[in-house]
Amino acid sequence: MEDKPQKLKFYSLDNAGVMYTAIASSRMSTVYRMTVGLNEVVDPAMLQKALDVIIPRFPYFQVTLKRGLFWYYYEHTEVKPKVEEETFYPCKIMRQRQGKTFPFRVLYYNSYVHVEFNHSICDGSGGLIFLQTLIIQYFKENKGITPVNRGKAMDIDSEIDPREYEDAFKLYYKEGVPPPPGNKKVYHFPFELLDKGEYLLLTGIVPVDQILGLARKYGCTLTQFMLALYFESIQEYIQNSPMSEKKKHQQRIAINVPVDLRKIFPSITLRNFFMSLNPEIDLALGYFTREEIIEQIKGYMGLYLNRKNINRYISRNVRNEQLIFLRLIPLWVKKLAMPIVYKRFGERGYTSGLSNLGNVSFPEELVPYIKSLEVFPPPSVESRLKLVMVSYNKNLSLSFGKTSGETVIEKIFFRKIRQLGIPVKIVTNKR
Amino acid sequence: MAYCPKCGVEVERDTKNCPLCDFPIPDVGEQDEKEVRKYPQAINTYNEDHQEKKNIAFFSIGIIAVSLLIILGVIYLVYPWNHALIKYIIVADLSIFAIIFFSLGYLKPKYNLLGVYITVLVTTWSIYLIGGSQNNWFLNYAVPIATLLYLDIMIFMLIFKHTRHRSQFIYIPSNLILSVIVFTIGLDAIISINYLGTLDLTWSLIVAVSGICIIGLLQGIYHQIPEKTRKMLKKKMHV
Repeated sequence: MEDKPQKLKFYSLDNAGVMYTAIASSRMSTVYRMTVGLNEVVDPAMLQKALDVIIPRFPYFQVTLKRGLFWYYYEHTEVKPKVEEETFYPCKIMRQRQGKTFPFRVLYYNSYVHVEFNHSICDGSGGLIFLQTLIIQYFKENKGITPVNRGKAMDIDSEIDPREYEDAFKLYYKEGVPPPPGNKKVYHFPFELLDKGEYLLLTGIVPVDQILGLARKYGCTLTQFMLALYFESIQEYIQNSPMSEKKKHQQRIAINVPVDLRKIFPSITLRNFFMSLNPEIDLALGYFTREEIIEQIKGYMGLYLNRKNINRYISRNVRNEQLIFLRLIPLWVKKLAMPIVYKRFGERGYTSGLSNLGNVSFPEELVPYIKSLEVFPPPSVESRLKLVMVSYNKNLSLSFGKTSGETVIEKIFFRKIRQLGIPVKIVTNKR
Repeated sequence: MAYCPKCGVEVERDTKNCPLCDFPIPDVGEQDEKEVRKYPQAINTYNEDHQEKKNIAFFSIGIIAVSLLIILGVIYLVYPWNHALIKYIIVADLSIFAIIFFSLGYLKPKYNLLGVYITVLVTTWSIYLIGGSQNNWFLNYAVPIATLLYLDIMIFMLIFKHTRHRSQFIYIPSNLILSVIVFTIGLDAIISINYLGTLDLTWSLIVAVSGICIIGLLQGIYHQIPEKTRKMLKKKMHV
């Protein structure tokens, strides 16, 4: 089993990947997007060259999704991925076609490079490492810049470390840890859905130091502060809704916050390794002020953001995956049942999602050429609006991805930021 | 730089309306370099992707139907066996093929429905002709029942269109039950008129009453009983 060449040909999905492949559909493509804005128009030939150079360093991404009898799995392919000009809606579902499709795509349009990853192969941290490596290589090909300090990006001449593609969930799984309490039904946005296959993006760009200063003033972290503003916006939306609906909406609001487990466990895997927490406020208790929301979030994070509690989630998920009678169900039955199970037990428990990918840096030499960085969440039906924040070079990108045409929550959210005296720039793909 | 006067946020230079509040962005007559568009005019490939799968399904079924037709035709011409039976099989084969064509949704829903309706009428008429039955069941039963079902589905497709954005767990069952009630009443009426000669509804009323109770319950759960009615009920019921 531990035969190395054997292992490089075939990758079983990790715990999150198993779920993501089973729930994927046109509306829930489970594809997220990372966008790099350059200061000049992208040269597709150079981008292709850069991709060709770096892809051998990422053999675990040069794979294609295959159907097994019980689960999907990834198989190594010799086909080279191609860069494409963007013509379709973002985060389009990735169909499998006879070993020619990859779990990622590299797109370009004008001066923007987009890398879209299927969430079943890697999470945001892993994807960003690939993106950074690609961009560094692009400038090496295009401008001959070889940065001294590569930062988190992969050195393409280095040996492939097996730990880069380990299934960290299984590695840190502890037997006998009791499962966490189940989630309760929370408020969901009542917005009308877009047509299948459509997805809207809306980014607000704000200066990070000003907002960080404000967060410090409130005595919390940047994630907690943005989370509080987001909670407040949803609360305000419900408060402003007509009386007849308001009563129905006096429910809990919970926001799904993924936690990068590489910060808690010593893993360097590029595949999925995250777990989500669900801080919530209960509107039945009354109106929450910003300070109260921050206190609530801080208290929640203090209680639950630790190794012991996270272990409960990991062990629940891994145990469910390893249950023999669940594994023996044929794939097509799983494919039918999983979306319902996910809707019932997963998405029921949160209103929306907010993911902070932290501060991403590119090598100093490249900063003059790179204008912006954004990351967009994968589309979802139950939580029609999701938010990802990532900061790069003094700017914080607050990127909403939505399967609905409504902009009311974003309007309240960004107007709140404006009222705090912080300038906001809005960019969207809505026409 | 362009700003939305209502939201106070900066927007892309060539934007006409604010992406947040849809308020028109005033043209301040700034004529500097054009901002590069970040996103193309996106194409939705959902229908295209599904068309491919549908075509494969349709052509494989088509091949099966055509080959069955050829085999049956040869048997019919060469082998003097039960001719009526072969005619029945041919009619069934053709009508199943037509219904599959309409159910794959190549046309608009209302034309598909109309197509299925016509197919059903033609099929029953052919069977009626082949069988050479004495009683006039085609005009007495087949046409009215098919028409009833067609109209019933038409009406409830329209209702569904208007209520589909409400709670799916309440409105879809309510609409389904209502359409079943209408259908059973019609069916009962057709049978009683043909059988007894008079309009005499019996079992369909039981379906209607119990169905309406379920709808009332569902809608009651969803909309809640108004405060005034609740008070009145409490008073009347002495609770």
